[in-house]
Formats: sequence, structure tokens, C-alpha cells
Amino acid sequence: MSETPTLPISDKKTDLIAQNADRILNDPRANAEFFEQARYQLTMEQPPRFEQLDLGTDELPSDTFWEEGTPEASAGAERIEEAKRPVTHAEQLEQDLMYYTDRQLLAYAAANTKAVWALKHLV
Amino acid sequence: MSELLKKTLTLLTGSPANSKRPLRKLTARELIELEAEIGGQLFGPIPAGHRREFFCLDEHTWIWHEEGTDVNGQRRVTSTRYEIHDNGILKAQDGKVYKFLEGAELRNLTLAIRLYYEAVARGIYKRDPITGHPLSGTTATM
Repeated sequence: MSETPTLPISDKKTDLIAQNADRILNDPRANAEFFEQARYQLTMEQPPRFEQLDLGTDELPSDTFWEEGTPEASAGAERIEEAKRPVTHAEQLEQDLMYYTDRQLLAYAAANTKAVWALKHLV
Repeated sequence: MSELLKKTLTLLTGSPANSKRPLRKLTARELIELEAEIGGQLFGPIPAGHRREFFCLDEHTWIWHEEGTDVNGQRRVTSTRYEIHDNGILKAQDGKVYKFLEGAELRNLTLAIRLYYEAVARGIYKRDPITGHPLSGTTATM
């Protein structure tokens, strides 16, 4: 009980970078259909040699290069589901504060404390 | 103001002027108790038999008070005071060395302070925490 209590959202100790990556993947501006398709698996045992690739085209080197696979019920899928969950205001605020220096955090805390105190004088 | 004068004014002007602001009837201590209840809930559900309060004591001080039973059945009471100074936030806890908060602990407290402000602004004082204006269609009532 000696540490400052943390908010429930802090208990997850989530990796902010990974979280942001998931958010980008979940961005509605991205091609949503792409992420809804089944995962693709690399079926060729050996990748094509560099000189075999036709660099003049955007097409894949062969039709069998990629094959549609069965999506796995993996932790990755869970993370995608987690990323689809709307970010709460508290979580958004926590993420914003991640980029604050201690000096900025102090100023922010002081300003909000004064704001709380001012509320009492409005009644 | 004497009671006689108050009654006279009420007869002349109708309801007392503060009737639309019932929170004014509450003492500073009572306001703190209301806030502390909301503040304690910021950290998630409170287990049965547990008591948690987090509140703004004054313009520079925050209090976190926690009472509960540990895994060994021992009653634990912890009171922590956070003092906001120009050079940092000092954490003062019974029997422990005072220290200035930094890093994650400072961030967690700052987050709690902001959420507290937003919660009491809306929940108690019926104010928009961004603009400070009264919430539309409401008065500060408890």
C-alpha cells in the first residue's frame, strides 16, 4: 500500500507502441477489408531468387506464392479485438500523458488542482 | 445576518437568494466528503470491507486514504499526503521517507487528478470541465 494507487487501466502495463500500432491497423481509413481477410501463409519453402523477380510489375511472382490460410485463434487476434474496442477517455488521457516530461506533468497536476479548488468557490 | 433580517428579506424578495444553489449550504468539509467518495471510485471497484478516499484537501494538497484487511487478516490503514510545490510533488506517508514523485508514479497521480477534476466538475458541481460553464439544464444539486 505504499505506492500511489494506479488506475485499473494502468495495471495492464500495455506496451504503448504496440497499442498504437494496433490502432493504426484498426484505422478506418485503412483498407478494412484487407484485415478481415484470412491470414496468408507463405507456401514456398524457398523464396524466389532476387534475379527471378520481375521488378517491372507490381504483381506477385507467382500465383502460388501466397495461399489463403486458416486464421489462428492467437494472441494476435485477441490484440486485434482489443484494438477494436473503443479507447476510453481515461486511456486516451493516459496515453497523452506518456509523452509529458516530469516538469510538464507537475504543471498539469498543479493546474488541475487549482481548477478543482476553484470549483468549490463556484457554489 | 440575523434570523429576523433573513425572514424579512424572504418575505420581501421571495425565496432566499441561494435556493438555486443548494451546494452553498454544504460546509467545506461536506464538499470534501462528497468529492472523496467520487475520488475513491477512480481506482476501480472497492472491495467489501475496504475504504478508499482520494480528495483535494486544498489548493496544494491531495490526500489518499485507504483502509482494508491484508491477506494475513491484519487491518491496514494508510494515509498519504501529496503536496504540490513549485519544484515537484512531495509524497508524505506515515513512517516513510518523504520523496518527490517522478516517472510513472507522477504520471499516475497526474492522471488521477485530472480524472478527479472532470468527475467532480460534472458529478457534484454540474460544470463542464472544459469550459467551466454550467451543464445545460442542470443546477448543482445534491
